[in-house]
Order: sequence, then structure tokens, then C-alpha cells
Amino acid sequence: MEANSEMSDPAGGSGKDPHLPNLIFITLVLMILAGGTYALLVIHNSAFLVTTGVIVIAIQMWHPAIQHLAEPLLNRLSDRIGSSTGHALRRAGKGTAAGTAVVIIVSGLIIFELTHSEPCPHTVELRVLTSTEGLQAARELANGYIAATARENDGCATVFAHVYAATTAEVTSPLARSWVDTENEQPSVNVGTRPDVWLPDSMLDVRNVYDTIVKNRTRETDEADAQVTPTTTASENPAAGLPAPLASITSIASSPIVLAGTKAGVTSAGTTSAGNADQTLSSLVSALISRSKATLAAADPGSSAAGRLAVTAYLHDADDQMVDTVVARQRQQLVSRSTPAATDEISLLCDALRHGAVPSAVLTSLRTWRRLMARKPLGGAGCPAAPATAPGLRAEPLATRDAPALDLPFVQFTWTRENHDQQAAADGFRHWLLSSAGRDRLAGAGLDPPIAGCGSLDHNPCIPDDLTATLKRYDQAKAPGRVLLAMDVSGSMTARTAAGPARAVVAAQGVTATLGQLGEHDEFGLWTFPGRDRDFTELAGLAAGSAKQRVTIADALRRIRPSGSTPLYATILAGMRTVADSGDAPIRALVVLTDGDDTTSTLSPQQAAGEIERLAAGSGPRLYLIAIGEARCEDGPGRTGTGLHLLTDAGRGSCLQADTGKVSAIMDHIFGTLWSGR
Amino acid sequence: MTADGGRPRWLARHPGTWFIIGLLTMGLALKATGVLDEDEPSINTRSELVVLSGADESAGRQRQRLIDEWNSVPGHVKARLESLSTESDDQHSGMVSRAQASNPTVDVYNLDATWTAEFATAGYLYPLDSPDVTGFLPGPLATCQYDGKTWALPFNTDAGLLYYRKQVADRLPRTLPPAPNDIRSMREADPALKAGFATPLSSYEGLSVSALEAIWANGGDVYDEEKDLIVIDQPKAVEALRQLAAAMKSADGLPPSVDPGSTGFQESTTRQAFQSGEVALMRNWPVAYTALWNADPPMRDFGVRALPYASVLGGQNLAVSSGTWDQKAAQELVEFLTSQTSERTLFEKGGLAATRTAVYDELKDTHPYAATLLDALRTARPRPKTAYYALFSNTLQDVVTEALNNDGELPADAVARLTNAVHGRVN
Repeated sequence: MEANSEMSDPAGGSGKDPHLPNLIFITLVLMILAGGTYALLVIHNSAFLVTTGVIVIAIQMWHPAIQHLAEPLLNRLSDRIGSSTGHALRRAGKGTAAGTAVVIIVSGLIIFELTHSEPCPHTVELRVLTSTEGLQAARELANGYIAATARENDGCATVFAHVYAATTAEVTSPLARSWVDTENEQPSVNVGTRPDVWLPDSMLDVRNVYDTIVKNRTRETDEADAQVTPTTTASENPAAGLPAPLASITSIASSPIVLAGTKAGVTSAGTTSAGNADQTLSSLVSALISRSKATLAAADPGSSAAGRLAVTAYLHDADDQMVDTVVARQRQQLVSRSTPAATDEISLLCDALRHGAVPSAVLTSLRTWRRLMARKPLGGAGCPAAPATAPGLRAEPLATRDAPALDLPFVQFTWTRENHDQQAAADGFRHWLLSSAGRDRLAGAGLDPPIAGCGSLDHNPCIPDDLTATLKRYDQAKAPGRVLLAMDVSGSMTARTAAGPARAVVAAQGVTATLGQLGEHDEFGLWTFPGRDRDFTELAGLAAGSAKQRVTIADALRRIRPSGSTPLYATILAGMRTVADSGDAPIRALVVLTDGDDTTSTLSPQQAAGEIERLAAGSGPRLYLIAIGEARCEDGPGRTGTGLHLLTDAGRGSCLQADTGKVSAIMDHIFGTLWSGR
Repeated sequence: MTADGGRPRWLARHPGTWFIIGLLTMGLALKATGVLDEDEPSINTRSELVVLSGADESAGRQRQRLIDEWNSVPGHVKARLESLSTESDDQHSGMVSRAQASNPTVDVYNLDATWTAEFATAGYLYPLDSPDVTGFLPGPLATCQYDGKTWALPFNTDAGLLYYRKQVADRLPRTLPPAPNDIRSMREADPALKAGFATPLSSYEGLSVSALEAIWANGGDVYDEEKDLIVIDQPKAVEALRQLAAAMKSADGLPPSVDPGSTGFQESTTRQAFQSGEVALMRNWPVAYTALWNADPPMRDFGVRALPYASVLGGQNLAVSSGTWDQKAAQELVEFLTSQTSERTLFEKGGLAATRTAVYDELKDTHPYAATLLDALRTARPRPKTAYYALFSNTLQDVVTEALNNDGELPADAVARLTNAVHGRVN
């Protein structure tokens, strides 16, 4: 371009009217400068700029030839116009003709490139895998990025993002194995195409993949060692210290777990202010749970990262200590009852919306709650929008300090490096998400800025330190139980307790008080012995611990009329056989409440113990005895083998001596032992 | 460097030399950008033909059987079927990604009928070398052609059908969505009815299909290819969307004409609503027939007939990848898989709608449902041909969803958005 100045030079220094060539010269320079600047501003495609530059240089090289061609043309033109104007034109024209030609061609090229509406070039395919709960937000983010690439490229997007969702359980193993088909897995068919970017909700999901990679590698190494061949380890990614195929992890946003719902549902749980900066989430939740008729919905930790973090909130007490197994079970059952048919946050809220309501109290990510309140699509198929006005709805959730949070990692893989374009598109998406435009979109999708340190696999401030232990407690609390209670109603149970009522009445009240520990997943039954015309009576057969079953049992307990002998051994053996039969509950036990030893059996205590040991072997049911009144767990003085502990030792359980009034506490203790799986 | 004084005399005497030098420089520059853009040519180490396709849903995996048959012929280059998921959006992404990969690993694509233009213009395909196209149904064949060339051969085709519960067999409406009188009459026959008709209106390709059919049925259209014009704002199209939105509301104490749950339905959920008895009629692809028949519990009290309007033409076409290592063998494989014998096997044993007229003639006596299907196929219409179909379809889904949420009123920028999309532009 700079060549034009000297082209105009000869014209500027000669001729009758020296102003005209100068004017032309200045105009030319300005036009070229303006055109060049504009081109630099609008064209971001460096390849195009380089090419244009080279073309300009080439044209400048042709300048003598253009001059050669233009001169006769101008001469002929000026001849026609007339001699005086023609003369000046001829003089100026000689120098400027070539320059003009250059300008026309260059500006023509630029204008053509800017204005002609050629179809857009084809886009680079970017495959983005996300969680089922994050799908809708991820779609919005991807669309934002696509639009951003289009803005820089004359409306033509350079990237097309295919955003799809799967649960952590579905993707962990395929990702760890580089999405390759194995005998048991066909991820391309069953999950979807191999992703270039993975946007799970939490580093917990990445941790699962990391652990699986390490485990697979150890196994492969072991196998290789066994074959005495040189061990091959997967290539490390030295930059991030990640094992392949993990290439990079960046936290792009965050979203804390909050307690939300209706005013009536959550307000009295804590303060009425929205801030609650002085309270922890667990203290809010503990206060909520302590109310009568409290409900608390939360996603299932098995299928939701938010659900896993929410467990922390309801399995810790007001002082942030993990609750014991008995309380854990009560709370797990409360959540389970309050969250029918729910797997993740989306299905939980959509299910409620379909019934025209929002849950009165729910632990959810702030992202999902904000989307609900903004009446944005949540993503569930056919999920209705939140009602525009829900009576009693509390729009602001109860946010707390140090609440666990989703940390939205942006994960890239080593396999994308094989393809330059897709790698560039994935990098571009990440950069855009961290830019201010990306931040705006993240906020629009209901997400908060990333929290420092939350992009790390270990010691992540978004994830509670004791989460593994908490989830273990949750699993214990959730394990279904199959418990049969056999209660002694022999004549001796009519004896009065110190407090007044008969032993049977007090014991029955104690048992009733513990029924609340049984959940829908549990099976529970009640026998009494002796029976009318056989050893025992089945007051309530083993059945799921529904409210109905609990009522049935409580009613039956009120009606017992003690009389007769104590067929203890026969009842124990029959009860253990019944509990052992069918059902795959991991926790199975027979609990016998008695006030005396066997009075009818032909078996010796040792023979009975032998039989019990056989039934309890392996994963057989355990035997617990609650000894009240005259019944004794321990051997009598000098009478080895007479205590009831003989039976429970054989039954891998324990025998507990109790005052009749303490039956409830003893039952709690037994359940605590049972639920913990110890 | 252009100063005359600095030039050697011979150059000054031959100004044309500069022209030649300039030309050479420019040529070199263009070549250089070309070389920089191009990926390094890979060394071919492949020895089998890879067919990339959505998972084989045909009864008895007939596609795999045909590949086995091809492989059993001595002298044939061995072929292998590689599968993606059954979902069309996912297949598209998987195939485009493989086509864009630095290392070509696919020889034959089983493309959705709407992707031909995109794959052809993007350079992912070789046009077929003078293929024999006689005997194919004209509709499916047309979806294989773009820009005057044949890029694929139709593997299987598809057209929507009207499924009805037997109770209402003699009360079928003449138009869809059913009019209030039709609803009244159908409810008399089946008092448990919650709605008249269900068609997928969830935001995925099925919504594009349902919307196009509703608009076509009313005499409107979405895109006029000849004029390259979006016409969804024309009165007949606008009216069709209004009717559809209105049909999802109940009036006069009657159940709604269209199940309002349809906005959350895909093909399978539509089928469930039909099977559970919530709706008396549904629009679905032929594959639903087998699915209902084999459901648990199986459903028998239903019938099928052609829709009262033109269906969207579905189906898949086999095309040769530009990354193939043996173009000739790949085309031969495509021709084998779409031969009359193969098409008959796919239809008769696999339940996939054949793309050749002769197959329907052969089977009309043993498969009475073949005639209904052929009727539907003859009148079925292709979706708009654009190289940016995925973008166009996504945009159409957004626009229609917004319209249905707003009593059928199109958003003000609907035409602008769709015009951009059909040309590959994002706003």
C-alpha cells in the first residue's frame, strides 16, 4: 500500500494545476488508510488478512504493467474530453492511474468479502457431555459460545455444539477407558458419541473417573507383572499431573446447595432473613427436621452430584457433627418419604410441578432453584414451568456460609488433541466461559462465579472433607432391613412393673415407640409366643414398613393378653427360618423379647444354640434377645451355659438385659447396631 | 524496490517481467495457505470397509446379516458395521466428528435423509459414480440428490402413519387435529379418553416433523426452496400453529383435541400415551407398530392408516465417505446393501420400510400393511433441503415452541431467525 505515495509523487511535482494531483494523492492515501483500518477491524481471520496483504504486494509489483495498460486508455480518454482538461488529466493520470487501479482492486476485494452473502462455511463439531441436571444450562452456555463465534465471523458460527447428558454412573467407566467399546460396554451406542468436553456438576464426578483410571491401570500393571512382561503405564499429562485420558480440568462456575421451598416449609427452620450468614446448612436442616410433620426433599445421591452434597446437610447435626446411625436412618427415611419418585433435582421439581406445587422444603443447588424461580426450562421432558404465582412460595432460598457447592468442572481429554479443529473449538469454549461475556451467560443460566480452589481433585473447598464417610453412613442408613420381632406373652408377662402396668404393656409401648425407625424399604413383622394352638402367633407377617404396617403392629401390640408357657427355642428357630427365607435385604434379624427361659422345648440350650448357629451362618439372620424380668443374659453363678447369651452368641447378635421400662432404648440400641451393618 | 533507478536495465526494458514475478508470488502465497490448511496425508493402513450407522434397530439385526452376507462372498473387501446410538442428533454429531477427524476411518455413512446436502457441500462425501437408480421410490431417491449429483442410495425409508384404537375405528376424524365433534364422538366410544390425538412436540427433531406436517396440512409451508424464502409467517402457516396451540386446550367440557402432554412427548412417550389409552389417535413412524405388538402387555386393539395429510419423509441413505480408502469397493457395498434382495430382507425380516417399489409389489399379499405404508410414502414430502439442516431444525423447534407457548403466535423475529439458520447463520 505504501507504494502509492511514490506513484503520486511525480504527478504532484509537475503540471499546470499542481493542486489537483495533490488532492488526488491525499484522497487516495486516506481511502487506503481507511480501507485498511476497516479491514483490520472487521476481519479477524488472519489467513485472509495475510492473503490480502500478499495480493496487494503482488499488485504493486504489477504496477508498471498496469501503468503501461492504463496510459494509452487515459490518453484516448483525454483526447475525447478536450485538450485543456485532458492535458492536466493526462499528466496527473500517468502517476495515479496505477494507484487508482490498486485502490479499486483492493477495496473491491474487501467490499466483496464483507458484503457478498456466500453460504457460511461448515462448522466444527464440538461434542459436549454434561449431567442430566445441568443439560439445560449447558445448552444455554453452548449456544452463547456459538453466537460469540458467529459475531466475530460475519454471522457464520465456526462451531456447532452437540450437548447431551448422561449420569455419572453411565459415563465414569467409558471416560476412564477412553470411550472405547469393551465386551460389557458400548458407550457410543448406549451413552452417545465420544465427548470433546465434559461438563459434570461437581469435581466428585471427575474424582470417580480419576479413581477408575488409576484402578484400571493398577490392574493392568498387575496383570502385566503376572505375565512377566515389561509394564506399560498410560502416558501422564505432565502439565496438570493428570492421568490420560484426562487432559485438563477448569472450574468454570459454582452453585451452592441451599434450603428452599415455601415460607411455611422452611422459614421457621432458621432465621427469617435470607442471608443466614451465621448459620450452617446442617443447623438449618436440623432445626427443620426437629419440627413435627417436617418434610425435606432432596435428590438421590446415587444419581445426582447435588444429591450427594445435600446428604452432608441432613446427615450432620446442628454442631456439624455427623449423626449416629439411628438418627441417620430416621433422617434418610424422612427425605425418602418427602421425595417420592425422584432421582435428581430436575425430576424432583418437575414431579412436584406436575402436581401444581413446589416442595415445601427442598435441598437443591441454587442454580436449579434460580431457574425454577425465573420460570426457565428445567430440562425434564414435559416439565411444566413453575406457577407464575405460588401462594406461600419463598423465592429467596436460605443460603448459608460454607455450604457445599457444585463446582462445575470443564474437563478436556487427550483424545481431542488428535484433531486440531475440535481441540481449538474446545479451548475456545473454555476461554469464552472465563471471559466477561461467558460470565454473563453463566449468571444468566443461574450459576455463580467459580470459587478459588474448587478446581482441584483433593482438598476441594466446595466438597466437605468427610463426604466419603457421610455417604457411607447414608448407605448404611438406606440399607433395607428385614426384622422380625417375637414378643413373649407368656403368663409371667402379666407381672406388674415397678411403675404399675403389666410388663407386657410397658414392653409393647417400648416396641411401638421404635417402629418409626422402619422405612418403606424395610420389612417388619411381629410374632407373639406362645400362640393359641401352636408355639407362636403371627400378629403381622413380614411386610414393607409402610404407615399401614406400623399401625397394624401398634394396634396388635395394644391387644395382647399374656397367658401360657414360654416356647422360646421353638419360636427362635421358626423365626430365624422365616427371616432367612427369601428377600435380599442385607440386614436381617430376629429380635426376641422375653422375661424367662424356655419352658416347653425338648432341646437342651446347647442343642438349640447349635441349631441357631447353623441358621445364622454366612449371611443368615442375626439373633438379638432382650431379657426383662426373670430372664438372664449372663450365666447364673456356677452354672455355665445357662444364660441366654449362649443363644445370641450362636446367632451372631447380642443379648441385652433391660428394665422393662427401658425396652424402647434397648430397641434403639439394637437397631443402631443393625443399621450400621456391624 | 520499484524505483526505476534501482532496476537492472533488462528489467526496465521488460516491465512484463514484474507482472510475471507478481503472478508467481501470488500463486505461491495461495498455495502456501492451502498447504497450511490441509492436514498431513495419512498413510493408509486400513483393509476393511467401515460402515458407520445408528444402532441397528431392525428385528433380528438384519443390517448386520446383510454385512455378513457381503463378507461371505469371496473377493469382496471385508466390511464392518460400527454403531452409534439410536438418537438422530447424536448420530449426526458422531458422523460429522468422524468426517472432520484428521485420520479418516469411515468408508460408508448411513445418513439421515436430511443430511445429504450438508455432507455433500462440506466435502465429506464422494458423489456416486454413475449409480443405477432405477427401481427406487422417487421420494427417498430425491433425498439422495443434491446439486445435480447423486450422493447416496436410499437404505430404508419412513413415513408417519395414523394409529387408532379399535374402539374409535368407525369414528376417525377427516382432519387432524380432530374437530370438537370428532372428540365428542370418540369420547362416546371411549369414555376414558383424556385427549384425542398425540404427536411428538417435545423440543427435538420430532417437533420439526410435527410442525411441518401441521403447517403443510393447512396448505402452508415453512421454507420455499425455489425462492429461497422463509414463508412461515404466511397466513396458512400461522393459522396452523394457532390451531395446534388451541387444540391443546379443552373447551365445552370436552377433552382437548391434542394431548397437552405432547409438548413433552418424543416417539416413545407418544406411544406410551396411546397404549395406556389416554389418547385415541397418534402420529408415529411404522416402527411403533412392532413396538406396540411386542409391548408388555402386547397391544392388539389398534389399527393404522395413512395420515389425512402428507407425512414428512424419513429414512436413511448410504453414502461413500470422501475418507474411504477404496472408493470403488465402498460404492459396490452401498449398491449391494440397497439392492432389491437386500431391501426385501430389510423389510420382510427387519421391519424397515423398503426403498424399492418392487418389494411392495412382491409383499402386498402377505403384508397387507405394506400397501398402507406405500400410500403414505407416495405422498410423503421431504424436509427442507439445506446444507445447515441441523441449525435450521433447531431454530424451527425454538420458534415453534415459543409459538405454542403463546397461543400459536409466532415470535416477531421468527422469519429473520429461520432465514439466518437456513443459510447457516446464527442471528
